Amino acid sequence: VTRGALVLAPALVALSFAGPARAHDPFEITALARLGASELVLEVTMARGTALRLATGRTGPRETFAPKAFPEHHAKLLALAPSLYAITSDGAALPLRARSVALTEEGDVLSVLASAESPGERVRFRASHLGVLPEGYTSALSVATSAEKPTYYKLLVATDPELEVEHEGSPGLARAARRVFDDYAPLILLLGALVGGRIVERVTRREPGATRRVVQAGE
Amino acid sequence: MAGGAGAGAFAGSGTAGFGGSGAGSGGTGGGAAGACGGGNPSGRIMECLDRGVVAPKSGTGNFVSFRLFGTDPPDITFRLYRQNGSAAPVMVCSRAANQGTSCLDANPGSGATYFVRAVTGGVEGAPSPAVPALAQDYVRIPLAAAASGAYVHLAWTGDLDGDGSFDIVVDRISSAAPLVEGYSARTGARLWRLDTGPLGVNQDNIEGGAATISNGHWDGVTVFDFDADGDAEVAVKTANGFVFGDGTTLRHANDQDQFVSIVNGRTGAEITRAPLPNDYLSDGPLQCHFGAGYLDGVRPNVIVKCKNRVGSGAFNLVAAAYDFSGTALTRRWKFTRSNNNGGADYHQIRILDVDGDGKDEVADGGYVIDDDGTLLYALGSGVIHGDRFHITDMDPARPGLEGFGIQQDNPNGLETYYYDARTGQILRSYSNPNGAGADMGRGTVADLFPDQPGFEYWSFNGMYAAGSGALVVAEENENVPWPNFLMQWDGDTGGELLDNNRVGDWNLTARSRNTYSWRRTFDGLVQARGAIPFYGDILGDWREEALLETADHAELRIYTTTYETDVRLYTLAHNPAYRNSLTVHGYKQSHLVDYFLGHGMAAPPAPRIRLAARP
Repeated sequence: VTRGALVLAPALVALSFAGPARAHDPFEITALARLGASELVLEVTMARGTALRLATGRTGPRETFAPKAFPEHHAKLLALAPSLYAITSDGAALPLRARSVALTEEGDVLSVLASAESPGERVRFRASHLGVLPEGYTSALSVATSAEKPTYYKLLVATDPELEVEHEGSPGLARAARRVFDDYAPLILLLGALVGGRIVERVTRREPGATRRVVQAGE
Repeated sequence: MAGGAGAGAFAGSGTAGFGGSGAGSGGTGGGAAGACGGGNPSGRIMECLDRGVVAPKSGTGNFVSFRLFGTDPPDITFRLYRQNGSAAPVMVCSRAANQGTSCLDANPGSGATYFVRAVTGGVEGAPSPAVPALAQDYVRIPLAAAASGAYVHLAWTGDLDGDGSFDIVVDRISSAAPLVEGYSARTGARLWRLDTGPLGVNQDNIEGGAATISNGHWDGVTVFDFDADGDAEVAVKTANGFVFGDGTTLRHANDQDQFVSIVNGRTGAEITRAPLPNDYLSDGPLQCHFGAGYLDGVRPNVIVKCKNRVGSGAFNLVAAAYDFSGTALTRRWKFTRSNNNGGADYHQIRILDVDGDGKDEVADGGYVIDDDGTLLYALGSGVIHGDRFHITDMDPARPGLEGFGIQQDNPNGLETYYYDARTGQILRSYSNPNGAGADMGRGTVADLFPDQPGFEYWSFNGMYAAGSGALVVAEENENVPWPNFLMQWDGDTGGELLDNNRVGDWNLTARSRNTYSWRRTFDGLVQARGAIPFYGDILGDWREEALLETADHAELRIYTTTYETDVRLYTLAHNPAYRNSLTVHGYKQSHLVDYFLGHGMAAPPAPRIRLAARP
């Protein structure tokens, strides 16, 4: 490798709100979750050394692998992927299955996971990999709940590894009903009171008459 | 004899901003020695700050701290006063020339405001602006509503309204076009908002839009008093569709063209603009680091370093410097990295005088651009790209400044190096003996050990003493402290470590990574790489403040120390290298002075500065 090529090939770092960064420093993981009506898809991107550390427990910055050695590690990384994040949907575990693990154009490890079930109204993400890595690693999580663009973002750290979001696209009827109630609670209560009052009023007014009519009919 | 200072603008201490009035109106207050226009007549022109009095709550009392100017005479003393309502001011403490510029007011009473008067030649000067005591140890600045989930990634500081205090500029990042907002630190009021427009929406960290800011490790914004008139301006990367604070939209026929716009710090209106270099226009928009420096040693310049990418391969790099006259922005020089003109670039630049000629250079990790835009040197010894580098006086026994840098996957095995910042000569290098070098990712410098000469520098291959080269802590079982940021907080001259939202001292005896004595845990959001949006010396004495955004995105908090100290140092913001460093934020790294600030230090030399005159 020529020196000229080396100086012109720095790996860029960092995160974008719009999705996982395209190149990673060894201590920063990025993730993008898309919550659809039928599934949750999660893409987690990290440096090769970080992935190897999570998969094998090997420590130290020199523990990494060359891109061409990726096939040797593929099975380990595929097995690792579902444990990167722990996700709950309305309080119940929402298991993820690995769809693929591959190297990105920048040589980072991209794990794509998906849920078998629909995500519910409240989805909580826990970056469980931060509990395995030593303090200093961070995980930048962006979540898109309805449109293509993320509406939630948080930099997760070991001492604060969770983000809970409201799933606007959840198809649950209960959710819709609750939203209607939440948004129009005063009006609904007022209408309820009015309608209830009228019913009570009519019932109490009709009771004697109805009785009379029945009596009259019986007569 | 103390006269009454003006009442604080915000008597309620829990309200926004740090309050205060212009008792020393039109000047710095607190003593003629530091008055606007004062200092070295041929020195670099810096903003004319006031004494920066701040009074955070400390226990049942108030810890009151104030600023020593770089232009103050060595024998200057101070008297700190408290005023409760309309009662006559009472002196809380006096500070002799061998004492710090702070004191604890153990019995403040209610409704206390504070001001300070400098004493030179036995004569008490004018009072500084009076500020109310804070209800906590931080200043609160409410954030205006922005897009859902919008967060503050970066913040900058400068005296936007010319009142002698540092104000705050922040970005607001969401899936919409990034915003830039200016806030008065004194009142907490939002002054203006910039909208990067449709060409700011693409926030890709490598190939973002023409007007995108704060994407990846880029910033594209900086704040400084570029025309040296006492009011700070904002320099920002712009393109077609960018909306300024007065509602004016930049209209330009070609969406590819990019500009450096100078924005009025008071109003947010554009004053003028100049093109960014377009040498690599066909490869897409440039993403940039912005900063300030003094290329002629007297007047400040806008500095930009930008890159874009050729397809998915190599990167183009261009740097440029601009002069701002107050009405016009003119390019002074342009530097392109081509034909082996330059070396490896890193994720940040440092703008400081590395060769001691009084004029600033633009230092990248692997090379330095001289004040005239030519290459001063490129590092040899096989240095390639790394993420971080640091330059300060790490070894006081050695003339000049020293640098420390880290490497990323160097095939020759090099992992870290220590060098002469004047010449680029590698003084020590550290390699993997068993093959290619690692992607070190983090590395920093600080003076942690009092018994080691000078600073220590470290990454994940060990901690070394700058003065002797001795191995101080071997990297076994990941035991060196996490190498993120150096911060000054607790009042000794040794360094504290800032990581995520905590600052503290590493346990020098345990020598285990996560053994710290945390001095303060800040409440707020942490951003990429364990960095907070801003930290630096902007209030009170020479210690550094930490700015974070609250988790609900509702307000900024500027935390300030309550640790007492008798160490007296002029404000770090009057140190040329440090002040420039506060202007560069994309991939945040430690802010460093250009003298040895560490255990057993000598008094630093007076900075060669003068304070801007005010009309």
